[in-house]
Amino acid sequence: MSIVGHKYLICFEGTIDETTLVFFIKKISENKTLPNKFKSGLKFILIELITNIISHNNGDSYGSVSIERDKNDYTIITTNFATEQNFETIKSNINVIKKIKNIKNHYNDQLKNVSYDKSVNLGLIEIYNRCDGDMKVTSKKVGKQLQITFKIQLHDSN
Amino acid sequence: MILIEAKENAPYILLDPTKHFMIVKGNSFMANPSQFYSSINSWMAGYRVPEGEEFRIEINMGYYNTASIQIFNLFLKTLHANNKDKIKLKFYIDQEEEDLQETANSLAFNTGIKPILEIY
Repeated sequence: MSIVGHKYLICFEGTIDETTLVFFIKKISENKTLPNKFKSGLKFILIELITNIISHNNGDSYGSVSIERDKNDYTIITTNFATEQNFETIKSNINVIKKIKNIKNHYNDQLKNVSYDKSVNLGLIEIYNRCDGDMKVTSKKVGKQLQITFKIQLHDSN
Repeated sequence: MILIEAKENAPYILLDPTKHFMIVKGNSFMANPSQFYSSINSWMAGYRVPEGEEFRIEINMGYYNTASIQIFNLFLKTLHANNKDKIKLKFYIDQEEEDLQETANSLAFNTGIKPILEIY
């Protein structure tokens, strides 16, 4: 794990597991230059992205996570390997969320539908809400595997 | 009694049915929350608050992933359904962490329990 220069706040490449997530959250918490409110949003997004990579990998949770800073603009990029079906599901879920006018109400409506045999897809809603919809997901073939990239933009207005 | 020691991504939990209280403190962003919370869920399924008593839950908020929110929301909803008006829920939230108030609201959302929020 490494912390590099000014451009990257943090970047990591390797097997992504709970230790990786704890490391990122700790580093963000310890950062003295970011305002609390902004740090909080960043942490919530990372928590969802990284737990998603750990939970829905294609037998291998190898990937990367980086946070890049350009003045007050931040870019979070994650990559991991997944199935074509996972990628299509994510794209389809994002398209559904994009059409929702009141994200918070949608989140609560989804939460109402949770039962012991049915979980709902709150993670993407949470990410979408916290980045004001400024997120992209793309895929490319790397060898025989499909690599999924999430790119999320955040602006610190303080 | 159930006692679970805290980790950086998992909360401290102390559940004492004989004294009718549960304390939860810290973060909950593990990858498999249903496994983590299975012991308190199993306990809850068979628990009924004795006549004339209340069950107190105190949660000192940390960061929760949405998977944990779903599990805990369902836990509270079922606990309330099995013990109507006998569940008292109080959240403690660090004033420097105002977003955690939103998470606390999600945990209690549509459970039937009216929580008390204490900002410290």
